[in-house]
Amino acid sequence: MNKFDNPFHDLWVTEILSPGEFVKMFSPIVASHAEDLFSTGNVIVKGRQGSGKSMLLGLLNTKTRVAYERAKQPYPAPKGYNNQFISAGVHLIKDNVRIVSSRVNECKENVRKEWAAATFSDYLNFLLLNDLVDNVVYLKEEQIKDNVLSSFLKISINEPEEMVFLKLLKENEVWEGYLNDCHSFLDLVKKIKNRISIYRRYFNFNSDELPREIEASKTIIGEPVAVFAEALRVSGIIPLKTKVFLRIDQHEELYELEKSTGHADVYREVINRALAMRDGRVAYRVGTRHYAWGTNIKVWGSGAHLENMRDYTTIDIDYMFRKHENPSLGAPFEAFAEDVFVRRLEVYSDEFKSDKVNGSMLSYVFGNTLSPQERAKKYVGLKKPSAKFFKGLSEEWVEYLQELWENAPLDAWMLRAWLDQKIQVNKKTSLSSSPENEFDAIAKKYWIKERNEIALVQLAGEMREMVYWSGKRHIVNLSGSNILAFMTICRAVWSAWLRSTSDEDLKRTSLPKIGVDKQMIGIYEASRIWSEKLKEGADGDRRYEFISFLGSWFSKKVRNDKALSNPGHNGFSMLKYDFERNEQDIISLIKSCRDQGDLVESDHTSKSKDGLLRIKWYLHPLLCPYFRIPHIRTKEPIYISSAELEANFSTFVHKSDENISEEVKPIQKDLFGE
Amino acid sequence: MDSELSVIEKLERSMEFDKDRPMKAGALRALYETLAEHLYHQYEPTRGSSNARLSRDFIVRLNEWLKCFRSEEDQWIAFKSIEYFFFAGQSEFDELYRCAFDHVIKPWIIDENNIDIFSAESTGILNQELAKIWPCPISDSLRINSFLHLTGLKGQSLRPDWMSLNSLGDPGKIKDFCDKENLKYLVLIEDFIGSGGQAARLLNFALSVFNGPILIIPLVICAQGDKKIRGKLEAIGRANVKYQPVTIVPEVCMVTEELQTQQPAFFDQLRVVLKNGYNIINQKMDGEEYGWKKTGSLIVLYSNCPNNTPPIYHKVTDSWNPVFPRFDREAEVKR
Repeated sequence: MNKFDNPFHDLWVTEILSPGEFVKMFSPIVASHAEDLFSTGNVIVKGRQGSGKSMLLGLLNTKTRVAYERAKQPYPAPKGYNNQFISAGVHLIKDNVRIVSSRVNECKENVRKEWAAATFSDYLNFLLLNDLVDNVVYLKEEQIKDNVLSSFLKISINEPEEMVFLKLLKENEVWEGYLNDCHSFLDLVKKIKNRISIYRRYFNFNSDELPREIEASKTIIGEPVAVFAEALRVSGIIPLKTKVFLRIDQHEELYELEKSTGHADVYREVINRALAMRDGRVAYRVGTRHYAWGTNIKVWGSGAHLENMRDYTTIDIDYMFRKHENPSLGAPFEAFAEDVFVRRLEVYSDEFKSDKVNGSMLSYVFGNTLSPQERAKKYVGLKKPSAKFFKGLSEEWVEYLQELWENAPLDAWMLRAWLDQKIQVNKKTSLSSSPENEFDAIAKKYWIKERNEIALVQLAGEMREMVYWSGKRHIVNLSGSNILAFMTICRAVWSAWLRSTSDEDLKRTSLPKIGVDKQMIGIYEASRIWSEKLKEGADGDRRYEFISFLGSWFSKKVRNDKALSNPGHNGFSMLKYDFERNEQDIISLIKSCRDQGDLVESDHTSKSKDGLLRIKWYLHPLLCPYFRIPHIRTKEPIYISSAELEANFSTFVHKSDENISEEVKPIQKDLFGE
Repeated sequence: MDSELSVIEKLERSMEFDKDRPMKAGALRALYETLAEHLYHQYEPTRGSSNARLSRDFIVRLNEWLKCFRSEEDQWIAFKSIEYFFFAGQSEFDELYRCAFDHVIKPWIIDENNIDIFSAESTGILNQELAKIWPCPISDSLRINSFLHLTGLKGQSLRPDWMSLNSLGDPGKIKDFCDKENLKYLVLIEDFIGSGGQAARLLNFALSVFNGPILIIPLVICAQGDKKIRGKLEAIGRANVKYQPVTIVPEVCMVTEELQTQQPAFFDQLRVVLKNGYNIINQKMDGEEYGWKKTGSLIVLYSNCPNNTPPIYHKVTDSWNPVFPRFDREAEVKR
């Protein structure tokens, strides 16, 4: 290990991990809550970017299973799972499936969609077949070495099995005669690889047309690999009860492909068709993002729709880690974060072993989050409140608040805000001569608790200090149940610490305890990076603008709420029917932000008397430091209609309302921008 | 223990003057770290420091420099000003060399000889004529060997810099050498020209010694220097002398005494900080806070920092630790 490197430097490691590293890095917590992954039916693994979908699907990989067995590590599956399965997969980005569309425009316009669907189906079929063959051959070769996995997944490719297998395959019509000249397993392997190679040459414009042999033998999505799987079982090459899982990862790539090529919905509908077959011979595992799955579940060529729980079940990783009223419904994100953190450090260096620490390693490195009172004292230091803080108060109140400010500035700030609340204004409490009897802190325990964070944001602003975010609790909460956000924070904080530590100190340090000031800088950096990331992906520019607007709006609301009347105004709420029945731009923008994880959505149990159903949204917590708004969700959010929200947003975009546009400008580079 | 990055970290936390400063400071620091890893670490006067991390080496030096200022506002403006620098690294110079050869020297030779570039013999004629060039540096800061190696231009056995020749050279011997080697063209190259005073003075000598066609190529030249050299050549009025810079840095990129149209408004604030820093340095210098002849260029070359750049960036004294310490002929640089 190089001590000058950052263990969290590579945020996305799934694609570059060797199977051995996978065993060390993989946290079993997601898998232990994902029983369906090993079930017999089709499974859709949904989640935001960086939620761990690929890692979860990678668990099914044969090489990963072999690595677990050889490392003598328990395979991280739920208890009692059926281990008799083999899987094959396609990674739509790494396998560059996008190239299928490269020559679609050479077809006549009226048959383009059909050609795209047929070619994509056949190409994908053969990619999956190729990987299935590779997995079978790989496992056989590994079993020759040490019988790995052979107690329940013995691979047997001898002449009798081979002959039966070839006969079964060739007599099936699905191949349209393409395999007729195969006389051995090896022939078959070559034939499959050759077809993929011909396709690639064609897609890359290295040949003028697809050979007749291929054009005339295109296969229906899912059929060849199902036939192949069944033949493997019946011939005895794999045990008869072996399930065959087919992984399709980065499914959202198809959504982007459809958008960029204008072949709306074709590719995803083809996948849907494979799932709609409800074919017991194979089962699909599709890794996708919310936006790519939710909007299209039509089946290619039939007009029918996929049915949840019938055609497929869903593992929603984001839902899994969301806080539930019934804890058994979800998984604890904090435990997941801790496990990922420990594994990353342990893989990185022997000096970072968790057994060197008593208790939580996250707590050891980042310490505990400062209490609200501690943070308030840090903001205030030796500074005094401004004159306007005491304006309109009786002498007794001034004296009382001055004294309180010295020892408990947060209490003083809250008390001052309380005096500005309507009831107190009407009662003229601020003119009282016995302030110590006016506010019952014990009775108002929850009033205080709900307002701690907003008061701290205001106090930090007033004292011209950065809002303090540090310690394990803040880091976990700011991650918003997303492991990529968590790792982004860890990377930035570790960088801030590395940067400020001299070479000599680094050489002496093993596991660091990172100070609050370094954490603050790191967390702000992570927040800035997260806000810049908004521009990535679907609708990037518009989402960026919308989130900038929301951040500015919330920030302004929070800062101007001097009476602390609305501590929940860092989110907004809309009537459910308004959101679901309207089709304004603003609604699709909210949906897009939600699906990309920029906004966190939940049902809103409203306090209003109308009893109408509402939905509420908050910014992803990691965006909060950037906009200087509290990340805690409490009390009532801002009530607004879609029309009002759209008007407000429009005002922000066109900068006609100085009050909105001037508060926090959208993130932009400063160079020459004065 | 006090952090070695105390000032930068303070800027990343402080909202005393501007609530957006922490975010801006963080973004700038990240930018400088990236630039340090890819560019600033090439700076020769500070290269070879013991630090194992390229970016940290620069950031610590930046912090030491910021510490020299007396107020947080000045520190912030100074910190921000690095963003406006043009740092010409090794790769940039490789490209400048290539441009000078392909886009300046070759077309010049073609024009001088009326070579028909569509004829089959054009390459042969061009190569013959290129062999008759005497490529020389104007001063010893231009690395003529690197230029020749990278461009493939053959050059001559002697490649003296003309500043030295001007002081030590014998015009008679120079003429003899040109005759003996059959040198038809003189190409004078310089890596950087600021105000142009030295280069303009040298032209008198070069033009008096060499009667054949002369090409003058500054790789990077400030607008003031460009104006000066053009004026000088116009006054001399010799037809077979051509002047063609590769890059002219316009005046809007310089911190001049008066704010020019299209200059960043930020330069108004920077001007104050140049003055404050100059006062702390407390040494009388030509051009005062703007650098030599008041050029005010925000330019650093990987080989050294020109003295046309304001002194706060490069002047080494006991109490001033600049971010790009200049290797003066007279003074040792502090690492």
